[in-house]
Amino acid sequence: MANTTNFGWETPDDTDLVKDGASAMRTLGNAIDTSMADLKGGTTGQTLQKASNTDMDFSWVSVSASGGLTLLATVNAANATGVQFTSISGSYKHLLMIWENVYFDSTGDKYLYMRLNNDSTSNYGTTVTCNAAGYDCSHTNTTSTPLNQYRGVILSGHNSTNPLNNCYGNMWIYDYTNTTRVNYAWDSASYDAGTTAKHSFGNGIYDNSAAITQIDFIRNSTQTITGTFKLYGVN
Amino acid sequence: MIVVANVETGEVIEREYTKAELAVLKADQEQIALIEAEQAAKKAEKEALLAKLGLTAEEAAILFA
Repeated sequence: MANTTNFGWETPDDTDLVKDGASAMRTLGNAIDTSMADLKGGTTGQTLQKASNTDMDFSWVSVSASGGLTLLATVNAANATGVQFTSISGSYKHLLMIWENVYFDSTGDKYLYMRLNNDSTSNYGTTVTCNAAGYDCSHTNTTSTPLNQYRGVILSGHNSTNPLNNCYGNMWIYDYTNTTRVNYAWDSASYDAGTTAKHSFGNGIYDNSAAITQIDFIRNSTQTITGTFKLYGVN
Repeated sequence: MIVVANVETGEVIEREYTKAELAVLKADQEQIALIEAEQAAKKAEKEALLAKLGLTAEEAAILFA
């Protein structure tokens, strides 16, 4: 019995009888059909991927775009009392929040803090470095005691509607679907107080291994919030 | 009004905080006030010490630079 070189499919010998040709072709066809089975299927845009080290073992997979930002949602707040993003998909590697032109309706340094997954238990530890005198970095957790919220993230100290003066910044939430460890985030924000610019840089942990599905920005006092918040998925 | 963006559906709505949410925010405010009071006390203590030593904060910073 002769076999093909690469796949070992059975083919008729030169001396086989012609009357057995149909059967021989059927045997060859079935062998090819079996070998190629994994190539069948898939949907538009999917990519063929090796499923194991075994020859011809493939599967069709959807591959996310790599190295790009996907805008997941935008909130344009106008005198809001809070900003919330819910039902965040786990389809990305990291989350990036960008805020632009954010200001409050009152003077004096104020800030927004963050809560993840609507968790208000003592699972947060943060440190913020800032030069906003009115804060005196008072939103920094200078003790080792865990807090109920991720402290100061977005700051503003005036109620100017001038975009040149308002707060801009960003926050990364790293590997937010990894359920084997706590979540990490870091953020920075700046605004121009008129005579001096104010800045903050923070980092912290959310001591819970659950994937992040909800983000809340909450005011530290009674100020209202105006500005744009954009949530991106990052691959 | 809180602005809520549902990332899955793309829907953005405005709503009032619920009673349960307001209770959590009240607890937050209490915790924040506690921390700020604690830090204000530390700051006052530091300023009192500097005054006792007759140093400004800048002069004290030079000592430890």
